[in-house]
Amino acid sequence: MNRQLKDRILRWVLASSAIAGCSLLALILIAVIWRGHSAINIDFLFGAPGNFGEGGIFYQALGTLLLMLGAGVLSFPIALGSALFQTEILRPGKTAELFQLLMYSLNAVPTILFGLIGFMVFGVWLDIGVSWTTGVFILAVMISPTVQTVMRQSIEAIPEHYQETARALGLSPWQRVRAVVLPQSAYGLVTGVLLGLARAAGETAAIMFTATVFSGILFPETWTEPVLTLQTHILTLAQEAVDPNTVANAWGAGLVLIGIVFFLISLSLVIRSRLSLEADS
Amino acid sequence: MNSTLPAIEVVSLGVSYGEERVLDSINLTLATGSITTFSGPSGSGKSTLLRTLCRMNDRMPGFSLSGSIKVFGQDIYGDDTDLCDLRRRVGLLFQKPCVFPKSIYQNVIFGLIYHRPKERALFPELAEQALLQAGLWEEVKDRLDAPAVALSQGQQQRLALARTLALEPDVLLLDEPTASLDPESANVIEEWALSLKSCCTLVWVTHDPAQAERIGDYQVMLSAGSLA
Ligand SMILES: Nc1ncnc2c1ncn2[C@@H]1O[C@H](COP(=O)(O)OP(=O)(O)OP(=O)(O)O)[C@@H](O)[C@H]1O
Ligand SMILES: [Mg+2]
Repeated sequence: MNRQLKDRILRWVLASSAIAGCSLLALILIAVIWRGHSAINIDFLFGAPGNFGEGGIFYQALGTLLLMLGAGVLSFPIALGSALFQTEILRPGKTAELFQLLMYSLNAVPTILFGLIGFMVFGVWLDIGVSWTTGVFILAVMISPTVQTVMRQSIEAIPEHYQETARALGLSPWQRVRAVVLPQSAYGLVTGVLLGLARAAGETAAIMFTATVFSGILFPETWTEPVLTLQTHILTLAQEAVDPNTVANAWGAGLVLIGIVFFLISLSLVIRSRLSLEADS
Repeated sequence: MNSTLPAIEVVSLGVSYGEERVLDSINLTLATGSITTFSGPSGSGKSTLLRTLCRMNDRMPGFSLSGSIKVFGQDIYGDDTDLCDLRRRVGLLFQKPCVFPKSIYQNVIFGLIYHRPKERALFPELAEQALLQAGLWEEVKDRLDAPAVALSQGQQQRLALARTLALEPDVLLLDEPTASLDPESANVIEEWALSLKSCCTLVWVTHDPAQAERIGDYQVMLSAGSLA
């Protein structure tokens, strides 16, 4: 086989895998829109749930947002702190590599295990039972490695001469973090959290038996009450619904979930342009 | 500062990166208020020596040092050295100018914000002084809020200079400050350096023997890590 032919085959392989990936995404989107759009109306979006799978999904969406926001807010300092620990204190070296390995392994832990451990700690040991705060904790721990990795990469991408210049001007490590690291990596920090949130938005297993219920509550009023979420809603309907309307509602809820994720991504783009404008001024 | 003390006193200094000996048995005394030029072939250790004078090499992998360096009588490699204060007093300007992606004004006050946080009201005045000293004021006084990265290379070099000058250092280490400048801007900086002697001790790295002759009270030649 000559070189040119090899080259061409390789190109085709790469192109077709890229196309496969993209079309899979398109396929999912089309399927969700196709089957879910008929369910979408004002009552569905802003109504309270009715009997099994009927009525609106407003409180489910609110619950999903609550868990996501809680997890985002909680994981931000954890992830940023450990990213800074790795880049500013450990610095490149054996210990930092070990630390990174730990993060990657945490990222690879099946989410159901996070759920189990969360259930052991909060549900059994602290005896809180099924509650939304447990869900927030579990999701925060679950997405922290993802958020940390993106944050660390964007901090490491800051040109070394910015740090050197700040150091030569006599800024302490903490002052350099404020003056150089945070402003220069702001976009990466936001992206990290949003990627983490996107992961949290789709997570079902870890919160299924620790934080969410299918019915019996609208919105938690205390720290220890459970919460409705779109994920649990979809899962339950997908498993048990037979009525075509109810099935359509499950797809509609899926469409709303995807909508939330896309909204987050657009938000990150807006924030990004704001930040780069500020950095220039 | 006590003017009878030499600004910097280097005694049998040796610097290595791992196995590689970069500087060897350097003895130097820089009189307060003088200009000393460092010259020597590329790789002879000029930048390394400069960076060692304000402890900018500490973090480098494999860095080790022997001998001692005193700044106004104080051993800077001693345990009780306040690195932030040392680097404010001994300012270093890099070979390649580096400005932050902020406005011109924000760049000038970059260090001030952290060294004199309670005197913000003075910043506009201090910034003007620093820019005047660096010979950049006339060119930028109408656009202090413009992004600094839009300045020319030479202007960026002088902005970096102003940023360091704003901290009122006692010693200023300049690593080829005019290498990227046109002759005219280079002249501005040279004249500025001569005018500054009263308040500041200067070290100036240059490849140009004529420049060393013009501005240096003392000329130091480095070759392969030793004084020649
Ligand atoms: N971080 C480092 N690690 C290992 N070796 C280094 C490091 N920095 C400098 N060196 C070595 O030290 C020697 C002196 O370098 P230095 O940059 O001080 O030279 P210089 O005189 O400033 O040269 P130039 O005129 O090109 O700027 C060189 O041989 C260089 O390879
Ligand atoms: Mg050099």
